[in-house]
Amino acid sequence: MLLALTVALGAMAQGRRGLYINEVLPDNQNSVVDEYGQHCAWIEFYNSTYAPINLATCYVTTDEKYRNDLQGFKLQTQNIKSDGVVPAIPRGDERTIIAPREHALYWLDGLNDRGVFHLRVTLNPLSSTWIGVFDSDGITLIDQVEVPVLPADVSYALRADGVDDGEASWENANNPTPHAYNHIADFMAQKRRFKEEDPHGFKMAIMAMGVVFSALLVLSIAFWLIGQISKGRRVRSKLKAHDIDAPVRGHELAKVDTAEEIAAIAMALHEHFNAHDNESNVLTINKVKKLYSPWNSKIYSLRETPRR
Amino acid sequence: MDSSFLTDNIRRFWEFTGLYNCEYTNLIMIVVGLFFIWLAIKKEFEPMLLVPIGFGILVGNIPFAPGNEIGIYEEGSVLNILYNGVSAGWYPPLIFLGIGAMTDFSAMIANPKLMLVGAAAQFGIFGAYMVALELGFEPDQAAGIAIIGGADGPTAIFLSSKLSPNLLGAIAVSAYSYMALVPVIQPPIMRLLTTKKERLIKMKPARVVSQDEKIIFPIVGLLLTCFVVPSALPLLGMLFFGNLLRESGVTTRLAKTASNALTDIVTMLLGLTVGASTQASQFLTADTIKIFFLGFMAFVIATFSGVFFVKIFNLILPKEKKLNPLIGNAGVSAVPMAARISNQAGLKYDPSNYLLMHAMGPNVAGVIGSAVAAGVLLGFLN
Repeated sequence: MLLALTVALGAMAQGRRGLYINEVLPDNQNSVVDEYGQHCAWIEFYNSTYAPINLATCYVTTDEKYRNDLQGFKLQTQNIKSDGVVPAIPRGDERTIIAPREHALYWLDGLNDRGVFHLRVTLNPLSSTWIGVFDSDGITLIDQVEVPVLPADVSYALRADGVDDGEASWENANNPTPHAYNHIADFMAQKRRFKEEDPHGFKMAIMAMGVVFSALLVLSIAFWLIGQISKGRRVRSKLKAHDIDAPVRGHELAKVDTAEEIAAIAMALHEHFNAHDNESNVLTINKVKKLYSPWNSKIYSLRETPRR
Repeated sequence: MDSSFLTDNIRRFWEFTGLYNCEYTNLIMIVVGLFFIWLAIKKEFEPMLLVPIGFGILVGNIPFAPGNEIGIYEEGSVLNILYNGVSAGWYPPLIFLGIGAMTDFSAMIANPKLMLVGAAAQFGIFGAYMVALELGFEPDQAAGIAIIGGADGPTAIFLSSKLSPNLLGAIAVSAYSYMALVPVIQPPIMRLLTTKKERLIKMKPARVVSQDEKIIFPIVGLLLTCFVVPSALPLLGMLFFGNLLRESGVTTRLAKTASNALTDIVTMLLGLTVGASTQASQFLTADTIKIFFLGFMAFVIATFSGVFFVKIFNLILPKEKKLNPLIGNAGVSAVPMAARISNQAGLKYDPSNYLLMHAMGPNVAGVIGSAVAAGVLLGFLN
């Protein structure tokens, strides 16, 4: 049980590694409002995997002292739990599950009694802020970002959703995109590119046929080699059975018998030993005279009348 | 009794009936469904597919008042739940599991160069892709339609469910219709492209393939093809898994279930739901006519490229190893129908020239080739 639990928790933590801080708006003056009509700072998460990720029991913190002191953060979370304070993202609400390749928006207003999407975290727009997201164990850091000081209504966003290779992956976005891809145009880029650069499909045909041919050519070569090895092994085992050290040129043993040859040899032996079956019965359609048979007896074909 | 209560209810019932909701397009589709059933029963054109599809067309075109969780496109309806296997694309891999469990790849393993014939015939897919682009389809839609040229129903459904789900019904029906018409479409092209001398070429009997080779095939096949095209993994993974069940010799029960009961169940559900997805409102469009035209083009190009490739290939092969071009058509992967066409054509010109086993090589290679082609298109355009 313990092992299964450990494995399951490990798998969950591994699954949450596909979770990214995708966009942060520290100073919300005219961007989206929460369900109370308030302009609050917000953080957007992105599930880059193809499976749902549940954010429940994850921690979001801006306390920089835990940036390099994960054990310290764990102790802090334990204290929070023992004090009976709800963890950063509570469990028990299905809305904390982020669908595959989807976004989730959380308000950083420090008012977690306002609902599941309000975190006990606030941002100071006048100073740069570190944000870390921890797994439920309080040690595994899922993602982190250093948000610089930004003008009002300018967000700090990943250039490509879910692709975070350090500071260079981030940009200041004058048009924040809460609940949406940071660059919607790029999402369609591949199809658009094919349409623009290969309007007649020639390049696609050449590339794709090249791949199909290569795949089957590799398979073909592999099985030619395997066939050669197999043939060699069969000849060697045959020579061994006949106690011959090396194949003699033109020797019949060097050739592998075909199924037809084997069938012909079997038939010849069969004929030679005259070992055919003894056909004891004759199947006929001629009428056989027989006076009585249970098959035509009326006794067996009629049901007796039940007695009262 | 209040008479208005009675009339109101009768009126409501009348509005609920198929007779009230019927449009002429429903009747057209019902006639199409009946035609498919007739083709299957009277002409025996792919009855295992055309009977479920034909009946599915009847099911899908019974008119009804929307909003009662009846139709295949209505969330939560029984038909919609069954259709999930098509729309989410998990019926095709199950069919591939069955195909793997019932296919003997010996002919291809014995003569691996025949795999290239299977690869060449896939040009039908990309030829049709080019024509589809010219007809104004978007690249992803064109790819979904062009896969009809692979002559492989499950692959066509799998790819179109990912790239062009709005055209899925038309693509599936077109693919299966043309697969049933392989005996009509292919022979004239084969005759046109070959000389009498070429048709009389006798190929050497294939060597005996050891059991070890048959066991190695699905493992090496999976690793080599899926490392190149991982997007074909759902199809090829199941195909090779089914084949390993068959050839391992220790999982006979599983192989029998996969090749019989499982395949039969999935074929029934697949055929019925694909047929039912052709609701007149979704199906009778100008695009459907274009798709049927492109499907025909794809089959013609695929047959042409398969036969033509063998002719070219013969130029570099030694005399005793030359291939009969009549096996080129089998590269389109309609297993085993296309191989049977090769055999019949061979026997027609020389009653002692049996091409069936030789044609099975490109035929099963075509199954792998079309799955790889689908994976390539998915990788490029998804």
